[in-house]
Amino acid sequence: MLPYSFIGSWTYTNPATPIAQNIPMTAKPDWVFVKDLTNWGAQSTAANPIYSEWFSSMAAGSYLALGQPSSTGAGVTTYASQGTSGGFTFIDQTNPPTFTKVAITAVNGTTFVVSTSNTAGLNVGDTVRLINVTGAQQISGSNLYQITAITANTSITLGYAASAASAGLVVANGTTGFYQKVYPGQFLPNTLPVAYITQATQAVVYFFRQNPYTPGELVDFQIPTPYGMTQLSNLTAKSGSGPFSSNPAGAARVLSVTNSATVSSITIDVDTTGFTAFQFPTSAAYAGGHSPAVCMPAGSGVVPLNGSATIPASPPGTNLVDAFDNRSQFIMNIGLSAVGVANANMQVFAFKADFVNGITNA
Amino acid sequence: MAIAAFRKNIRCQLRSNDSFFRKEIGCPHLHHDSAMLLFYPKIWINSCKKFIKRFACDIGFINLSAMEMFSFFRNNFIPVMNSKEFFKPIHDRNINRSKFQDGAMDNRENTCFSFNSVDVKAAIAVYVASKISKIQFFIHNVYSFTIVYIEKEIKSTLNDLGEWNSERNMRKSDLATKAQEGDPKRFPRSQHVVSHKSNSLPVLNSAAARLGQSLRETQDALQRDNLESSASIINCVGGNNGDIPTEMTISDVDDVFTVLQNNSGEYITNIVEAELRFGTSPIGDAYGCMLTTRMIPVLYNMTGFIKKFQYPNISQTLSVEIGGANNVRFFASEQGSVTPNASLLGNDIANCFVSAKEAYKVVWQAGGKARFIYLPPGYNNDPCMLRHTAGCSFYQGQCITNDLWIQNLRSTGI
Repeated sequence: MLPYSFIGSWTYTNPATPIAQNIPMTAKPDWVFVKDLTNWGAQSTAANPIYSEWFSSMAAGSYLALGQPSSTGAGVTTYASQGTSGGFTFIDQTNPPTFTKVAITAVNGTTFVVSTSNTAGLNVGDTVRLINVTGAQQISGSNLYQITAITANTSITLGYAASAASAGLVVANGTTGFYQKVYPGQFLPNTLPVAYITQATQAVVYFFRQNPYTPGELVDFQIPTPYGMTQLSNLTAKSGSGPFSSNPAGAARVLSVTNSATVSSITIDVDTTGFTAFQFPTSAAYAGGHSPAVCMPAGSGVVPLNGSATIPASPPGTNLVDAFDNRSQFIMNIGLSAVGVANANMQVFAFKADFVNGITNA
Repeated sequence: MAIAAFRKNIRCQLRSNDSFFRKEIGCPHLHHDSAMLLFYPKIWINSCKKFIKRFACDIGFINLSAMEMFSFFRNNFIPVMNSKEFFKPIHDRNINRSKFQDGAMDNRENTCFSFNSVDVKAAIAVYVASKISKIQFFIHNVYSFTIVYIEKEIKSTLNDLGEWNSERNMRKSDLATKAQEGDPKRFPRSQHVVSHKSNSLPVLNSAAARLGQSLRETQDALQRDNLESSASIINCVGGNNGDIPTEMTISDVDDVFTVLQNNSGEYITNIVEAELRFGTSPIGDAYGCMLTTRMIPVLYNMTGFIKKFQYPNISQTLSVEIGGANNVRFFASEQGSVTPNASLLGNDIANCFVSAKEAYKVVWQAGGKARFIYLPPGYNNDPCMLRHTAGCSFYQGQCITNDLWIQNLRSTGI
């Protein structure tokens, strides 16, 4: 008999409101289990699940689980359950699964609350795209939005887009359409659609989801005419005398990066006060045919000192974090039905079998 | 290559026992004298030392100067010896490198040592022997050298492989010997060639071929993913399918061509001039567009698209080339980039990378190129020696050299 290969173990602590966990793995497991180290055998605590597991012969999203009721006896009894959703889903980020599109009924162009009666399978932090939103075609299509809040089967909030709207992004309210969950590529840094660009001595560029850029990195833009600020396009080709000099001087330098819970932006060393204001085209204009306004990585640069536009860090250096990197991983997503209860310390183990055979008895 | 050069009269016996030397050679009437071995410099010095040590043990007595000479030739000042310097001025004038055939003793540096010997009985480890392509014995008489080849140049049994195994961390079962016909003039008898089993296992060879394919496709896929994630984006808008982006049209091709021209992108291919051939059209200086084969119907329906077989001259084309339109030539692959459901209406988008010269590159790191890794049974939790494993590895870095010279022209209609 050949043993399982032990892939590894991981721990996590559930927040007060548990969320799905993504466990990075080096191989696709054939057996994964999660144990609750906090509530295991605690008689006064009802917890479900305290143990959940998945085998590779089971469908994605399914699980087997054990829960324990509150008890006062000498021992703790457990009860078994199973399900087909909210369990374990293995994800190869290089070749991620695709998801069906789900109908939406409204998109608020200011708060970016997307109304939908079906939020199954969504978690905060997931990325979605909007498809063919009536009245808001300019935010439909290939843009990916990150979810910052979910009201179950009522709405999802695209908080990064809402922050861009607070800064100046103007999008009319949309009505019907679809959302679709998407696993974005992990080849970073990547090109991102621009949500909004301020007119400032150090322009702030907003995005619809968390951005991969790092201080010191050089970025360039392609801003089609309908978006206004075309002066920011193709900076790499524009002459300049150096990285901390007159504006523009080649590709823009990232001075600082914000990736908070609801704001994704970078501050660049380009003075855009005299540039045409950035604006999203209207829904009708976009439907007439436009390319997106995008920000793309343009190289490594000298890291600035604490966001300064003129002073390099001392000693000066370039930022290797901005190198192109394929960060795709094997991920085991543990859904809410298997992730454990609030505030519990959880332990994950994963194993891989040398072979998995289905035996059919004659 | 190792050469044993025996000066004057010599009698040399090389036993087969646990050695790859098989045949006694030399003339019975000859007596012992000094001999000299030269090692091709690609043999590691430790291998040379073991070789000499083994030789010395079997000989029974040896000129002490041999080891000293060896050390001398390997010392810090003269790490290795030039064969020409060694032979001609120091020793018999009849011995010079011109006497050695096959260019064995050319100007390459060699390591040598000499000794007095009687009945040389050498057992030489196969791992050393494996580095010796040919053994030549030169027997010297008054007038000239006579070249005698041992009849079985490399003869080894699996028992001989013990040392080789221990050196390479492999087992006897990893190796195989195979009889091969020798050169009828020089090696009239068959010779046994020691090789790794992986060379002769059809299944493994098949796996190796598939791994090679996988490896190269992975390399392509990495660069594809890099361009997909990081290149600038232009939507096709000239079509009429009601989607954003639309299907590709000639106006979109011209648009991206204009963008690259505005960005000082250099052409990749030169003009294919018109010729007096029916049904052909010239192709302009062009940028290259790499796209998915799913785009072929879109291209064939595009006004102004010239299929490859309509080129005036196809001598400068690739097999994957589909055709050209104005100043862009299209190269299709089934591994081409597609983003599912990403259009305005939720249709698949083809990412068509239009590239100017030197827009992107691959960075190789030393030692990081393709590596095929074969492990015979018994490795990695295989105590019963049931399974072979084969794998390949490499690492490479992707780089866009100028973000303005590569454009992702996105199209639907696929």
